Amino acid sequence: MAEEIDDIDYTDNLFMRLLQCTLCGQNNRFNYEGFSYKILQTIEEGIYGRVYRCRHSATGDIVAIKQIKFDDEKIGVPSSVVREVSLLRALQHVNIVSLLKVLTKETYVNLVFEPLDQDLSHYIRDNRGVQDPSIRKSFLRQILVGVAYCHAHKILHRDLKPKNIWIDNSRMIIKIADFGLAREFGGDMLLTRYPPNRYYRAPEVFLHCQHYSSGIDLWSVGCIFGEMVIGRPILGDTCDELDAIFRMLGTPSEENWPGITQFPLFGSYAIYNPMDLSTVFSGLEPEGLELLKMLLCLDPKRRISAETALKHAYFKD
Amino acid sequence: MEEGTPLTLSLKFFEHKKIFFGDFESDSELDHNFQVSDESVEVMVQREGEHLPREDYLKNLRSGESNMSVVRKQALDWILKRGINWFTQLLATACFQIAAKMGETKVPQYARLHVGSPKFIFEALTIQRMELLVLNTLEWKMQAITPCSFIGYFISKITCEKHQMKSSLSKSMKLMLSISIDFLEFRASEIAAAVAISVTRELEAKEIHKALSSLAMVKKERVLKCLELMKDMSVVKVSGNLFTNESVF
Repeated sequence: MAEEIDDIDYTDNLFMRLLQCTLCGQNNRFNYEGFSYKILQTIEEGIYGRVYRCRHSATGDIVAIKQIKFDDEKIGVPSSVVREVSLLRALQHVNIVSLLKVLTKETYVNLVFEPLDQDLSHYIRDNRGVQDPSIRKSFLRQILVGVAYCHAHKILHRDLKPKNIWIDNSRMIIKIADFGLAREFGGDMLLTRYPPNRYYRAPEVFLHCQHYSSGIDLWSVGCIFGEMVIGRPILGDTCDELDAIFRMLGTPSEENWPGITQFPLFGSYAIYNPMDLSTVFSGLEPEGLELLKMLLCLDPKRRISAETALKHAYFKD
Repeated sequence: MEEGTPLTLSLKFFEHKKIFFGDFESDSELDHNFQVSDESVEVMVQREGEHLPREDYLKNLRSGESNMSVVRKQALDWILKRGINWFTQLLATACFQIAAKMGETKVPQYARLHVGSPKFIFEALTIQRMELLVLNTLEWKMQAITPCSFIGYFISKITCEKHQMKSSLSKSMKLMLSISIDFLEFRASEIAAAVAISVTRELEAKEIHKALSSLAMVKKERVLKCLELMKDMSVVKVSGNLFTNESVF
Protein backbone atom coordinates (compact mmCIF):
# COMPACT_ATOMS: atom_id res chain seq x y z
CA MET A 1 0.00 0.00 0.00
CA ALA A 2 1.24 3.46 -0.86
CA GLU A 3 2.03 5.50 2.20
CA GLU A 4 1.19 8.83 0.71
CA ILE A 5 -1.09 10.46 -1.80
CA ASP A 6 0.43 13.55 -3.35
CA ASP A 7 -1.46 16.77 -3.63
CA ILE A 8 -0.57 17.60 -7.21
CA ASP A 9 -3.04 17.48 -10.01
CA TYR A 10 -2.00 15.60 -13.11
CA THR A 11 -3.26 18.39 -15.37
CA ASP A 12 -0.71 20.70 -13.80
CA ASN A 13 2.06 19.29 -15.98
CA LEU A 14 3.66 21.27 -18.74
CA PHE A 15 1.89 19.68 -21.70
CA MET A 16 -1.49 20.21 -20.13
CA ARG A 17 -0.62 23.78 -19.20
CA LEU A 18 0.34 24.52 -22.78
CA LEU A 19 -2.91 23.03 -24.04
CA GLN A 20 -4.84 25.05 -21.54
CA CYS A 21 -3.08 28.28 -22.45
CA THR A 22 -3.96 27.69 -26.08
CA LEU A 23 -7.53 27.01 -25.11
CA CYS A 24 -8.22 29.72 -22.59
CA GLY A 25 -5.47 32.25 -23.06
CA GLN A 26 -4.75 32.27 -19.36
CA ASN A 27 -2.12 30.98 -17.06
CA ASN A 28 -2.84 31.99 -13.53
CA ARG A 29 -4.71 29.11 -12.03
CA PHE A 30 -1.85 26.86 -11.17
CA ASN A 31 -0.10 26.63 -7.92
CA TYR A 32 2.07 23.72 -7.02
CA GLU A 33 1.31 23.01 -3.44
CA GLY A 34 3.77 20.17 -3.36
CA PHE A 35 2.23 18.75 -0.23
CA SER A 36 0.92 15.32 0.32
CA TYR A 37 -1.66 13.40 2.29
CA LYS A 38 -0.39 10.79 4.70
CA ILE A 39 -2.54 7.67 4.63
CA LEU A 40 -3.68 6.82 8.15
CA GLN A 41 -6.05 3.98 7.42
CA THR A 42 -7.87 2.20 4.61
CA ILE A 43 -11.55 2.74 5.36
CA GLU A 44 -13.04 0.72 2.56
CA GLU A 45 -12.08 -1.39 -0.42
CA GLY A 46 -14.44 -1.78 -3.32
CA ILE A 47 -14.27 -2.88 -6.94
CA TYR A 48 -13.83 0.73 -8.04
CA GLY A 49 -10.83 1.37 -5.76
CA ARG A 50 -10.22 2.33 -2.14
CA VAL A 51 -11.24 4.91 0.43
CA TYR A 52 -8.46 6.15 2.72
CA ARG A 53 -8.43 8.25 5.82
CA CYS A 54 -5.59 10.76 5.39
CA ARG A 55 -3.92 13.72 7.00
CA HIS A 56 -2.66 16.67 4.98
CA SER A 57 1.06 17.09 5.62
CA ALA A 58 0.99 20.87 5.87
CA THR A 59 -2.38 21.77 7.37
CA GLY A 60 -2.93 18.63 9.44
CA ASP A 61 -6.50 18.44 8.13
CA ILE A 62 -8.07 14.99 8.21
CA VAL A 63 -9.85 14.01 5.00
CA ALA A 64 -11.26 10.93 3.32
CA ILE A 65 -9.82 10.18 -0.11
CA LYS A 66 -11.65 7.97 -2.54
CA GLN A 67 -9.32 6.67 -5.22
CA ILE A 68 -11.04 5.54 -8.40
CA LYS A 69 -9.14 3.73 -11.15
CA PHE A 70 -9.95 4.20 -14.82
CA ASP A 71 -9.95 0.55 -15.76
CA ASP A 72 -11.52 0.59 -19.21
CA GLU A 73 -9.22 2.44 -21.56
CA LYS A 74 -11.77 2.21 -24.37
CA ILE A 75 -14.09 4.45 -22.39
CA GLY A 76 -11.64 6.65 -20.48
CA VAL A 77 -12.88 8.51 -17.41
CA PRO A 78 -15.74 6.35 -16.07
CA SER A 79 -19.16 7.95 -16.38
CA SER A 80 -19.80 7.22 -12.68
CA VAL A 81 -16.90 9.53 -11.81
CA VAL A 82 -18.05 12.27 -14.19
CA ARG A 83 -21.54 12.09 -12.73
CA GLU A 84 -20.57 11.76 -9.08
CA VAL A 85 -18.21 14.72 -9.19
CA SER A 86 -20.47 17.00 -11.21
CA LEU A 87 -23.53 16.16 -9.12
CA LEU A 88 -21.63 16.72 -5.87
CA ARG A 89 -20.50 20.07 -7.28
CA ALA A 90 -24.13 21.06 -7.54
CA LEU A 91 -25.16 19.67 -4.13
CA GLN A 92 -24.06 21.51 -1.03
CA HIS A 93 -25.88 20.46 2.08
CA VAL A 94 -25.01 19.47 5.63
CA ASN A 95 -26.48 15.99 5.12
CA ILE A 96 -24.61 15.33 1.89
CA VAL A 97 -20.93 14.52 1.98
CA SER A 98 -18.92 17.49 0.79
CA LEU A 99 -16.34 17.09 -1.92
CA LEU A 100 -13.35 19.30 -1.14
CA LYS A 101 -11.08 18.68 -4.08
CA VAL A 102 -10.56 16.57 -7.16
CA LEU A 103 -7.02 15.44 -7.97
CA THR A 104 -6.79 13.85 -11.39
CA LYS A 105 -3.98 11.50 -12.31
CA GLU A 106 -3.28 9.81 -15.59
CA THR A 107 -5.12 6.58 -14.80
CA TYR A 108 -7.06 7.33 -11.66
CA VAL A 109 -8.69 10.15 -9.77
CA ASN A 110 -8.52 11.08 -6.07
CA LEU A 111 -11.71 12.54 -4.69
CA VAL A 112 -10.95 14.38 -1.47
CA PHE A 113 -13.94 14.42 0.89
CA GLU A 114 -14.59 15.81 4.34
CA PRO A 115 -13.61 13.20 6.95
CA LEU A 116 -16.03 10.32 7.41
CA ASP A 117 -15.96 8.30 10.61
CA GLN A 118 -18.17 5.33 10.11
CA ASP A 119 -20.91 4.17 7.81
CA LEU A 120 -24.40 3.30 8.98
CA SER A 121 -23.96 -0.41 8.18
CA HIS A 122 -21.07 -0.62 10.64
CA TYR A 123 -23.05 1.32 13.21
CA ILE A 124 -26.03 -1.01 12.80
CA ARG A 125 -23.80 -4.11 13.02
CA ASP A 126 -21.93 -2.90 16.12
CA ASN A 127 -25.04 -1.70 17.95
CA ARG A 128 -27.53 -4.30 16.67
CA GLY A 129 -29.56 -1.57 14.95
CA VAL A 130 -30.12 1.96 16.14
CA GLN A 131 -31.82 1.14 19.41
CA ASP A 132 -32.07 4.60 20.96
CA PRO A 133 -35.41 5.94 19.62
CA SER A 134 -34.28 9.56 19.57
CA ILE A 135 -31.05 8.79 17.67
CA ARG A 136 -33.01 6.61 15.26
CA LYS A 137 -35.49 9.41 14.65
CA SER A 138 -32.69 11.92 14.19
CA PHE A 139 -30.89 9.65 11.69
CA LEU A 140 -34.06 9.09 9.66
CA ARG A 141 -34.92 12.78 9.68
CA GLN A 142 -31.43 13.70 8.44
CA ILE A 143 -31.54 11.05 5.71
CA LEU A 144 -34.92 12.37 4.55
CA VAL A 145 -33.68 15.99 4.63
CA GLY A 146 -30.72 14.99 2.42
CA VAL A 147 -32.92 13.00 0.03
CA ALA A 148 -35.48 15.84 -0.18
CA TYR A 149 -32.64 18.20 -1.06
CA CYS A 150 -31.42 15.89 -3.85
CA HIS A 151 -34.92 15.50 -5.23
CA ALA A 152 -35.47 19.27 -5.22
CA HIS A 153 -32.34 19.45 -7.36
CA LYS A 154 -33.81 16.85 -9.71
CA ILE A 155 -31.22 14.28 -8.66
CA LEU A 156 -32.00 10.66 -7.89
CA HIS A 157 -29.47 8.89 -5.71
CA ARG A 158 -30.54 5.40 -6.88
CA ASP A 159 -28.22 3.52 -4.53
CA LEU A 160 -29.24 4.44 -0.99
CA LYS A 161 -28.14 1.80 1.52
CA PRO A 162 -26.54 1.84 4.97
CA LYS A 163 -23.07 1.48 3.40
CA ASN A 164 -23.55 4.74 1.50
CA ILE A 165 -24.72 6.69 4.53
CA TRP A 166 -21.95 8.00 6.75
CA ILE A 167 -22.01 9.27 10.30
CA ASP A 168 -19.97 12.12 11.73
CA ASN A 169 -19.59 10.50 15.15
CA SER A 170 -18.76 13.56 17.19
CA ARG A 171 -21.85 15.49 16.14
CA MET A 172 -24.02 12.52 15.09
CA ILE A 173 -24.57 14.08 11.70
CA ILE A 174 -25.65 11.96 8.74
CA LYS A 175 -23.87 12.38 5.42
CA ILE A 176 -25.27 10.78 2.29
CA ALA A 177 -22.41 9.65 0.05
CA ASP A 178 -21.60 7.69 -3.08
CA PHE A 179 -23.36 9.41 -5.94
CA GLY A 180 -21.74 7.16 -8.55
CA LEU A 181 -25.10 5.87 -9.72
CA ALA A 182 -27.01 9.07 -9.17
CA ARG A 183 -28.39 11.02 -12.05
CA GLU A 184 -30.57 13.86 -13.10
CA PHE A 185 -34.20 13.11 -13.68
CA GLY A 186 -37.14 14.87 -15.19
CA GLY A 187 -40.30 13.73 -13.47
CA ASP A 188 -39.72 10.09 -14.21
CA MET A 189 -37.55 8.31 -16.70
CA LEU A 190 -36.87 5.19 -18.62
CA LEU A 191 -35.25 2.45 -16.65
CA THR A 192 -32.28 0.90 -18.35
CA ARG A 193 -29.78 -0.20 -15.76
CA TYR A 194 -30.67 -1.52 -12.36
CA PRO A 195 -29.00 -0.21 -9.27
CA PRO A 196 -26.89 -3.15 -8.12
CA ASN A 197 -28.03 -3.59 -4.55
CA ARG A 198 -31.06 -5.86 -4.38
CA TYR A 199 -31.91 -5.49 -0.68
CA TYR A 200 -32.92 -1.85 -1.06
CA ARG A 201 -34.41 -2.06 -4.53
CA ALA A 202 -38.02 -0.92 -5.00
CA PRO A 203 -40.69 -3.39 -6.20
CA GLU A 204 -41.39 -1.42 -9.41
CA VAL A 205 -37.74 -1.89 -10.35
CA PHE A 206 -37.99 -5.68 -9.87
CA LEU A 207 -41.09 -5.65 -12.07
CA HIS A 208 -39.13 -3.96 -14.88
CA CYS A 209 -41.36 -0.91 -14.67
CA GLN A 210 -40.66 1.28 -17.70
CA HIS A 211 -40.34 4.50 -15.78
CA TYR A 212 -39.09 5.10 -12.31
CA SER A 213 -38.84 8.21 -10.27
CA SER A 214 -37.97 9.62 -6.86
CA GLY A 215 -40.06 6.83 -5.29
CA ILE A 216 -37.17 4.37 -5.62
CA ASP A 217 -35.09 6.43 -3.19
CA LEU A 218 -37.95 6.60 -0.68
CA TRP A 219 -38.37 2.84 -0.83
CA SER A 220 -34.67 2.47 0.03
CA VAL A 221 -35.10 4.91 2.92
CA GLY A 222 -37.96 2.71 4.19
CA CYS A 223 -35.70 -0.36 4.04
CA ILE A 224 -32.96 1.52 5.92
CA PHE A 225 -35.45 2.72 8.54
CA GLY A 226 -36.65 -0.86 9.09
CA GLU A 227 -33.06 -2.07 9.31
CA MET A 228 -32.28 0.51 11.99
CA VAL A 229 -35.17 -0.95 14.02
CA ILE A 230 -34.45 -4.68 13.69
CA GLY A 231 -30.68 -4.53 13.21
CA ARG A 232 -30.50 -6.49 9.92
CA PRO A 233 -31.79 -6.02 6.35
CA ILE A 234 -35.57 -6.25 6.49
CA LEU A 235 -35.84 -8.81 3.69
CA GLY A 236 -33.29 -11.17 5.25
CA ASP A 237 -31.56 -13.82 3.19
CA THR A 238 -33.56 -14.62 0.10
CA CYS A 239 -32.96 -15.46 -3.51
CA ASP A 240 -36.16 -13.75 -4.64
CA GLU A 241 -36.44 -10.31 -3.08
CA LEU A 242 -39.77 -9.48 -4.71
CA ASP A 243 -41.28 -12.64 -3.25
CA ALA A 244 -39.92 -11.62 0.16
CA ILE A 245 -41.40 -8.12 -0.24
CA PHE A 246 -44.84 -9.57 -1.06
CA ARG A 247 -44.57 -12.02 1.88
CA MET A 248 -44.03 -9.12 4.23
CA LEU A 249 -46.38 -6.50 2.79
CA GLY A 250 -48.91 -8.72 1.02
CA THR A 251 -49.16 -9.34 -2.71
CA PRO A 252 -50.56 -6.19 -4.31
CA SER A 253 -53.78 -6.14 -6.34
CA GLU A 254 -55.40 -3.71 -8.77
CA GLU A 255 -57.03 -2.18 -5.70
CA ASN A 256 -53.92 -1.00 -3.89
CA TRP A 257 -51.67 -0.76 -6.97
CA PRO A 258 -53.67 0.12 -10.11
CA GLY A 259 -51.95 -1.31 -13.17
CA ILE A 260 -50.02 -4.00 -11.30
CA THR A 261 -51.56 -6.85 -13.32
CA GLN A 262 -50.17 -5.31 -16.51
CA PHE A 263 -46.62 -6.32 -15.58
CA PRO A 264 -45.82 -9.64 -17.29
CA LEU A 265 -43.64 -10.74 -14.37
CA PHE A 266 -46.33 -10.17 -11.78
CA GLY A 267 -48.39 -13.23 -12.71
CA SER A 268 -45.75 -15.64 -11.45
CA TYR A 269 -46.02 -14.53 -7.81
CA ALA A 270 -48.09 -16.22 -5.13
CA ILE A 271 -50.81 -14.32 -3.28
CA TYR A 272 -49.74 -13.50 0.28
CA ASN A 273 -51.56 -11.68 3.05
CA PRO A 274 -49.63 -8.84 4.66
CA MET A 275 -47.80 -9.61 7.88
CA ASP A 276 -48.53 -7.71 11.06
CA LEU A 277 -45.74 -5.13 10.83
CA SER A 278 -46.17 -4.08 14.47
CA THR A 279 -44.78 -7.49 15.49
CA VAL A 280 -42.05 -7.49 12.80
CA PHE A 281 -40.88 -4.03 13.91
CA SER A 282 -41.91 -4.40 17.54
CA GLY A 283 -39.45 -1.84 18.90
CA LEU A 284 -40.94 0.99 16.88
CA GLU A 285 -43.33 3.71 18.11
CA PRO A 286 -46.82 3.74 16.47
CA GLU A 287 -46.13 6.98 14.51
CA GLY A 288 -42.85 5.53 13.30
CA LEU A 289 -44.60 2.38 12.16
CA GLU A 290 -47.15 4.44 10.26
CA LEU A 291 -44.40 6.37 8.48
CA LEU A 292 -42.53 3.13 7.73
CA LYS A 293 -45.66 1.75 6.04
CA MET A 294 -45.95 4.92 3.94
CA LEU A 295 -42.30 4.58 2.84
CA LEU A 296 -42.75 0.89 2.08
CA CYS A 297 -45.89 1.53 0.04
CA LEU A 298 -45.83 -0.93 -2.87
CA ASP A 299 -47.41 1.41 -5.43
CA PRO A 300 -44.74 4.02 -6.29
CA LYS A 301 -47.43 6.59 -7.13
CA ARG A 302 -48.85 6.42 -3.61
CA ARG A 303 -45.51 6.21 -1.81
CA ILE A 304 -44.81 9.22 0.41
CA SER A 305 -42.35 11.87 -0.84
CA ALA A 306 -39.33 12.97 1.20
CA GLU A 307 -40.84 16.42 1.62
CA THR A 308 -44.15 15.05 2.96
CA ALA A 309 -42.44 12.42 5.12
CA LEU A 310 -40.63 15.19 7.01
CA LYS A 311 -44.01 16.66 8.00
CA HIS A 312 -45.18 13.34 9.44
CA ALA A 313 -46.36 13.12 13.07
CA TYR A 314 -43.30 10.93 13.88
CA PHE A 315 -41.15 14.07 13.68
CA LYS A 316 -43.51 16.32 15.66
CA ASP A 317 -41.45 16.42 18.87
CA MET B 1 -16.73 33.63 -15.18
CA GLU B 2 -13.22 32.43 -15.55
CA GLU B 3 -13.88 29.33 -17.56
CA GLY B 4 -16.57 30.91 -19.66
CA THR B 5 -15.31 30.18 -23.10
CA PRO B 6 -14.92 26.40 -23.24
CA LEU B 7 -17.97 26.08 -21.03
CA THR B 8 -20.20 27.55 -23.66
CA LEU B 9 -18.69 25.28 -26.22
CA SER B 10 -19.53 22.27 -24.14
CA LEU B 11 -23.02 23.61 -23.52
CA LYS B 12 -23.45 23.63 -27.23
CA PHE B 13 -22.53 19.96 -27.21
CA PHE B 14 -24.96 19.19 -24.43
CA GLU B 15 -27.68 20.72 -26.54
CA HIS B 16 -26.65 18.95 -29.69
CA LYS B 17 -26.16 15.52 -28.18
CA LYS B 18 -29.88 14.83 -28.18
CA ILE B 19 -29.83 14.86 -31.95
CA PHE B 20 -26.71 12.75 -32.20
CA PHE B 21 -27.89 10.04 -29.91
CA GLY B 22 -31.27 9.75 -31.51
CA ASP B 23 -33.31 7.13 -29.71
CA PHE B 24 -31.20 6.91 -26.59
CA GLU B 25 -32.61 7.41 -23.15
CA SER B 26 -32.57 11.19 -23.01
CA ASP B 27 -35.31 11.45 -25.59
CA SER B 28 -37.80 9.71 -23.40
CA GLU B 29 -36.51 11.68 -20.45
CA LEU B 30 -37.58 14.81 -22.27
CA ASP B 31 -41.04 13.40 -22.90
CA HIS B 32 -41.48 13.01 -19.21
CA ASN B 33 -40.05 16.21 -17.90
CA PHE B 34 -43.42 17.87 -17.57
CA GLN B 35 -43.81 16.74 -13.98
CA VAL B 36 -40.96 18.70 -12.42
CA SER B 37 -41.90 20.52 -9.22
CA ASP B 38 -42.01 24.30 -8.78
CA GLU B 39 -39.28 24.11 -6.13
CA SER B 40 -36.82 22.34 -8.37
CA VAL B 41 -37.34 24.87 -11.16
CA GLU B 42 -36.68 27.68 -8.69
CA VAL B 43 -33.46 25.94 -7.68
CA MET B 44 -32.46 25.70 -11.33
CA VAL B 45 -33.17 29.39 -11.90
CA GLN B 46 -30.86 30.17 -8.98
CA ARG B 47 -28.15 27.89 -10.31
CA GLU B 48 -28.25 28.76 -14.00
CA GLY B 49 -26.06 31.83 -13.42
CA GLU B 50 -23.13 29.49 -12.71
CA HIS B 51 -23.38 28.17 -16.22
CA LEU B 52 -23.33 31.50 -18.05
CA PRO B 53 -20.37 32.36 -20.25
CA ARG B 54 -17.90 35.07 -19.30
CA GLU B 55 -19.21 38.60 -19.95
CA ASP B 56 -16.88 39.35 -22.86
CA TYR B 57 -17.52 35.99 -24.52
CA LEU B 58 -20.24 37.17 -26.88
CA LYS B 59 -18.24 40.23 -27.90
CA ASN B 60 -15.17 38.14 -28.65
CA LEU B 61 -17.21 35.62 -30.53
CA ARG B 62 -18.80 38.31 -32.70
CA SER B 63 -15.56 40.09 -33.43
CA GLY B 64 -13.92 36.78 -34.29
CA GLU B 65 -10.77 37.95 -32.55
CA SER B 66 -10.33 35.36 -29.85
CA ASN B 67 -8.93 31.88 -30.31
CA MET B 68 -12.14 30.58 -28.93
CA SER B 69 -14.36 31.73 -31.76
CA VAL B 70 -12.09 29.90 -34.17
CA VAL B 71 -12.10 26.76 -32.04
CA ARG B 72 -15.84 26.92 -31.64
CA LYS B 73 -16.40 27.23 -35.36
CA GLN B 74 -14.06 24.34 -36.06
CA ALA B 75 -15.75 22.16 -33.46
CA LEU B 76 -19.06 22.78 -35.15
CA ASP B 77 -17.38 21.90 -38.43
CA TRP B 78 -16.42 18.57 -36.90
CA ILE B 79 -20.01 17.95 -35.86
CA LEU B 80 -21.12 18.83 -39.35
CA LYS B 81 -18.34 16.65 -40.82
CA ARG B 82 -16.28 19.36 -42.39
CA GLY B 83 -12.49 19.53 -42.37
CA ILE B 84 -10.76 20.72 -39.19
CA ASN B 85 -7.43 20.67 -37.38
CA TRP B 86 -6.34 17.96 -34.96
CA PHE B 87 -6.58 20.06 -31.83
CA THR B 88 -10.18 20.99 -32.35
CA GLN B 89 -11.18 17.48 -33.33
CA LEU B 90 -9.60 16.22 -30.11
CA LEU B 91 -11.36 18.86 -28.03
CA ALA B 92 -14.68 18.22 -29.69
CA THR B 93 -14.28 14.46 -29.24
CA ALA B 94 -13.61 14.90 -25.53
CA CYS B 95 -16.59 17.26 -25.05
CA PHE B 96 -18.81 14.84 -26.91
CA GLN B 97 -17.64 11.95 -24.76
CA ILE B 98 -18.24 13.89 -21.53
CA ALA B 99 -21.73 14.89 -22.63
CA ALA B 100 -22.53 11.24 -23.33
CA LYS B 101 -21.25 10.18 -19.91
CA MET B 102 -23.49 12.68 -18.16
CA GLY B 103 -26.64 12.11 -20.12
CA GLU B 104 -26.71 8.69 -21.70
CA THR B 105 -26.86 5.14 -20.45
CA LYS B 106 -24.68 3.81 -23.22
CA VAL B 107 -21.41 5.64 -23.67
CA PRO B 108 -19.77 5.10 -27.06
CA GLN B 109 -16.31 3.53 -26.97
CA TYR B 110 -13.57 5.80 -28.25
CA ALA B 111 -13.17 3.60 -31.31
CA ARG B 112 -16.75 4.31 -32.38
CA LEU B 113 -16.01 8.01 -32.56
CA HIS B 114 -13.67 7.22 -35.42
CA VAL B 115 -16.46 5.95 -37.64
CA GLY B 116 -16.97 7.95 -40.83
CA SER B 117 -13.25 8.30 -41.66
CA PRO B 118 -12.32 11.38 -39.65
CA LYS B 119 -9.17 13.26 -40.48
CA PHE B 120 -7.28 12.24 -37.33
CA ILE B 121 -7.29 9.06 -35.28
CA PHE B 122 -6.43 9.54 -31.61
CA GLU B 123 -5.12 7.07 -29.10
CA ALA B 124 -7.48 6.32 -26.24
CA LEU B 125 -5.11 7.81 -23.70
CA THR B 126 -4.91 11.08 -25.65
CA ILE B 127 -8.68 11.46 -25.64
CA GLN B 128 -8.76 10.60 -21.95
CA ARG B 129 -6.17 13.32 -21.23
CA MET B 130 -8.26 15.85 -23.09
CA GLU B 131 -11.37 14.76 -21.22
CA LEU B 132 -9.59 15.35 -17.91
CA LEU B 133 -8.39 18.72 -19.08
CA VAL B 134 -11.89 19.83 -20.07
CA LEU B 135 -13.35 18.49 -16.81
CA ASN B 136 -10.75 20.26 -14.71
CA THR B 137 -10.99 23.52 -16.62
CA LEU B 138 -14.74 23.56 -16.10
CA GLU B 139 -14.19 22.50 -12.48
CA TRP B 140 -16.27 19.39 -13.15
CA LYS B 141 -19.48 21.41 -13.23
CA MET B 142 -21.06 19.20 -15.85
CA GLN B 143 -24.61 19.33 -14.70
CA ALA B 144 -25.32 22.11 -17.15
CA ILE B 145 -28.55 24.04 -17.07
CA THR B 146 -29.74 24.73 -20.60
CA PRO B 147 -33.08 25.84 -22.05
CA CYS B 148 -33.86 22.10 -22.33
CA SER B 149 -33.90 21.91 -18.52
CA PHE B 150 -36.88 24.26 -18.33
CA ILE B 151 -38.83 23.79 -21.50
CA GLY B 152 -41.10 20.91 -20.44
CA TYR B 153 -42.05 22.62 -17.21
CA PHE B 154 -42.83 25.94 -18.91
CA ILE B 155 -44.94 24.32 -21.61
CA SER B 156 -46.94 22.45 -18.98
CA LYS B 157 -47.54 25.74 -17.14
CA ILE B 158 -48.92 27.42 -20.25
CA THR B 159 -50.99 24.63 -21.69
CA CYS B 160 -52.88 21.80 -20.07
CA GLU B 161 -53.72 19.64 -23.05
CA LYS B 162 -51.52 16.59 -23.13
CA HIS B 163 -51.45 16.10 -26.90
CA GLN B 164 -50.56 19.74 -27.42
CA MET B 165 -47.67 19.39 -24.97
CA LYS B 166 -46.00 16.70 -27.02
CA SER B 167 -46.13 18.58 -30.29
CA SER B 168 -45.11 21.82 -28.57
CA LEU B 169 -42.12 20.07 -27.08
CA SER B 170 -40.79 18.84 -30.41
CA LYS B 171 -41.42 22.25 -31.99
CA SER B 172 -39.50 23.84 -29.10
CA MET B 173 -36.54 21.53 -29.56
CA LYS B 174 -36.26 22.52 -33.22
CA LEU B 175 -36.59 26.19 -32.33
CA MET B 176 -34.00 26.05 -29.53
CA LEU B 177 -31.47 24.38 -31.77
CA SER B 178 -32.00 26.92 -34.52
CA ILE B 179 -31.19 30.01 -32.49
CA SER B 180 -27.80 31.66 -32.87
CA ILE B 181 -25.09 33.08 -30.62
CA ASP B 182 -27.01 36.34 -30.44
CA PHE B 183 -29.14 34.74 -27.75
CA LEU B 184 -26.16 34.22 -25.46
CA GLU B 185 -27.03 37.37 -23.57
CA PHE B 186 -30.12 35.62 -22.22
CA ARG B 187 -30.31 33.12 -19.41
CA ALA B 188 -31.40 29.57 -20.16
CA SER B 189 -34.73 30.07 -18.40
CA GLU B 190 -35.44 33.25 -20.36
CA ILE B 191 -34.82 31.53 -23.69
CA ALA B 192 -36.93 28.55 -22.62
CA ALA B 193 -39.81 30.81 -21.57
CA ALA B 194 -39.72 32.72 -24.86
CA VAL B 195 -39.62 29.49 -26.84
CA ALA B 196 -42.44 27.94 -24.78
CA ILE B 197 -44.62 30.99 -25.36
CA SER B 198 -43.90 31.16 -29.06
CA VAL B 199 -44.81 27.52 -29.70
CA THR B 200 -47.92 27.37 -27.55
CA ARG B 201 -49.55 30.75 -28.08
CA GLU B 202 -50.91 32.73 -30.92
CA LEU B 203 -48.29 35.42 -30.86
CA GLU B 204 -50.40 38.38 -29.98
CA ALA B 205 -49.44 40.76 -27.22
CA LYS B 206 -52.49 39.96 -25.11
CA GLU B 207 -51.94 36.20 -25.29
CA ILE B 208 -48.25 36.57 -24.56
CA HIS B 209 -48.86 38.60 -21.42
CA LYS B 210 -51.39 36.06 -20.27
CA ALA B 211 -48.84 33.28 -20.71
CA LEU B 212 -46.12 35.28 -18.97
CA SER B 213 -48.26 35.70 -15.88
CA SER B 214 -48.13 31.93 -15.36
CA LEU B 215 -44.31 31.86 -15.48
CA ALA B 216 -43.59 33.63 -12.22
CA MET B 217 -39.89 32.86 -11.85
CA VAL B 218 -38.61 34.56 -15.00
CA LYS B 219 -38.32 38.29 -15.57
CA LYS B 220 -41.07 39.36 -17.95
CA GLU B 221 -39.10 42.17 -19.59
CA ARG B 222 -36.25 39.78 -20.39
CA VAL B 223 -38.55 37.19 -21.93
CA LEU B 224 -40.22 39.90 -24.04
CA LYS B 225 -36.81 41.12 -25.12
CA CYS B 226 -35.86 37.59 -26.10
CA LEU B 227 -39.11 37.21 -28.03
CA GLU B 228 -38.39 40.52 -29.80
CA LEU B 229 -34.97 39.24 -30.81
CA MET B 230 -36.48 36.00 -32.06
CA LYS B 231 -38.88 38.09 -34.09
CA ASP B 232 -36.08 40.31 -35.43
CA MET B 233 -34.08 37.26 -36.45
CA SER B 234 -37.20 35.88 -38.12
CA VAL B 235 -37.03 32.78 -35.94
CA VAL B 236 -40.69 33.30 -35.06
CA LYS B 237 -43.45 35.44 -36.45
CA VAL B 238 -44.92 37.88 -33.98
CA SER B 239 -47.87 40.05 -34.81
CA GLY B 240 -47.64 43.66 -33.65
CA ASN B 241 -45.39 45.23 -31.06
CA LEU B 242 -44.89 43.20 -27.92
CA PHE B 243 -44.41 46.22 -25.72
CA THR B 244 -47.73 47.90 -26.53
CA ASN B 245 -49.47 46.22 -23.65
CA GLU B 246 -47.31 47.67 -20.85
CA SER B 247 -50.27 48.23 -18.54
CA VAL B 248 -50.40 44.49 -17.86
CA PHE B 249 -47.29 44.65 -15.63
